[in-house]
Amino acid sequence: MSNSFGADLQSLEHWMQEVILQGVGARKGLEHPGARHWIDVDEARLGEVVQPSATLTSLERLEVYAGMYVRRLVECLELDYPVVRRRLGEPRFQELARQFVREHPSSLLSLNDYGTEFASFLEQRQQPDGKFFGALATLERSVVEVYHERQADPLTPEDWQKLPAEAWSSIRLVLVPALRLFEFDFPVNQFLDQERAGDSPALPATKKSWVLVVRRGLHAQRRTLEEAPFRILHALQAGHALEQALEAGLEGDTLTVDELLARVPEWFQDWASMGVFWKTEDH
Amino acid sequence: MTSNNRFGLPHLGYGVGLRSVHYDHVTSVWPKVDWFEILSENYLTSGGRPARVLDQVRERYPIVMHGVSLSIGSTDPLDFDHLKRLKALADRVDVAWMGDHVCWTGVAGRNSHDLWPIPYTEESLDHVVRRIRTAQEVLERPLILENASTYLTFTSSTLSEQEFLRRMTEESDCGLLLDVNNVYVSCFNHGLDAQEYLHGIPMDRVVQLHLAGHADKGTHLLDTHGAPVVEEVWKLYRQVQQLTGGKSTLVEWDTDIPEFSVVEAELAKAREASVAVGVGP
Repeated sequence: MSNSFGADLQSLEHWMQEVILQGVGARKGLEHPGARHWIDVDEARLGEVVQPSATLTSLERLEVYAGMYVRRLVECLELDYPVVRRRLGEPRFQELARQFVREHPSSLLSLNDYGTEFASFLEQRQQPDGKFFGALATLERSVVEVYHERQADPLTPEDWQKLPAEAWSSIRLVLVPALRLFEFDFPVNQFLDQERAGDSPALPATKKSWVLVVRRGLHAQRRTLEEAPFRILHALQAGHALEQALEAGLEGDTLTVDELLARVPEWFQDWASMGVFWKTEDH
Repeated sequence: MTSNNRFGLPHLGYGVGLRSVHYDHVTSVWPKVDWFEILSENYLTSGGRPARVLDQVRERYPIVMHGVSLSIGSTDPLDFDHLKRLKALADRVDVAWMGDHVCWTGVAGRNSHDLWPIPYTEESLDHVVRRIRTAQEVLERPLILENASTYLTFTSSTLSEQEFLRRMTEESDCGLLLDVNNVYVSCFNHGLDAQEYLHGIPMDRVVQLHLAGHADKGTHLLDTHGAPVVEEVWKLYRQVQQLTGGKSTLVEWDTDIPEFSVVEAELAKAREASVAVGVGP
């Protein structure tokens, strides 16, 4: 209790955090009721809490921290969402990122996960392209997620050969943790490929698409799927046995049973080469 | 490896912060650096490539863990789950030592992901010392805590930063990571004399040194870790190496990260500077 406002360590810390986490700069943060609750100090008397320096006022010194807080979290979003940033344009991205930071103070220990909710934040904006940018952000974020997801060595060709034929109908194929499956309302994977190739395609019209993102070794791979193989993988990921997963492949698509069965070996071979399957379990 | 600190921790030589942009280079070239420092939190929640690279690197180099979220000065309760995760990682990687910063990063469960200054008061000192002791019991090793760069001073402070650090390290029996650039930045920002600051530091508690670049904002210096070390900091570094008898040194580069060779060149300067004052390599 040694400053003129009688603030102890706890009050001082809560006050400073309330000023900064408003994300609106030190001057406005200082006026916020949350800050005033802990130390009822205005700009005129701020020097009684924060000393001025020879070159900066008390408010300017507080502003250094207020600015760094927002900047660091915005940079985190910039790293996770480079294509969203490029296509939104810098002014709009910065405005949205700053708004996100204001609305989403972090409680995380690592910044790796800070941007997780940015996609849903974009989707919820009442703007015509909000849904598209939400989908694009979901896909960009998934690459970050599988990068950090725990390692699980996928089944090898030798593992596959050891599986008895009679077990196939009831077996459960467990997918690796570093895998994400998406059903989008836009062809976002194709769009992302074009962007990464240096093109600048027009924002696409609504069209269903299905995407697999999986890490093989150290690198994330993205693959646009047809609906049937998406449904099969989705069912496997949900824990269904292979037989039920294949049945799921017939839902919502135009493939007949024979057509589907004819293509299953090709799909499974492709997925095995991508490192999609982790292990088998008895159902 | 010899030791010249009161904790018996080894002199590791000259190291670099392990950063993801350098993963390919490090795991293919295996550069001639003595050790690597990792940002603890980046490896607590990631099981992917960072974890795999760390496993590869630890087989060839000593590793030091340096955290940013311990929030030792916070008035929130200590996060024992976090401490246990830190200990598990430290045990798994068999780190040479581990540490964090003399700061707080948030209250009410929030994390600002920034290193906020502590008011240097008797109240804060008691609080921080108690928390360090508890943390060290959980971690079963000394904490090596770094002086953070600061941009404001609380009017309520009654102790100088160096006095706070001296009493904190002695009363909690923790070690000090002296960031030489932070000494320069904070002294500039607060109008303090860096020489006076250094003479107040308990050098027998210093286990490790940090070197980094900063940005000159005209009215203040900002600790960006995004530029070469400036000459004034090299001067302080030579002085610290002389005063301490030579400590494990790490070059940090965290923004606008250049090619690994640029960081290595800074490290070579640190070796040369140490040799020049008779304490290296």
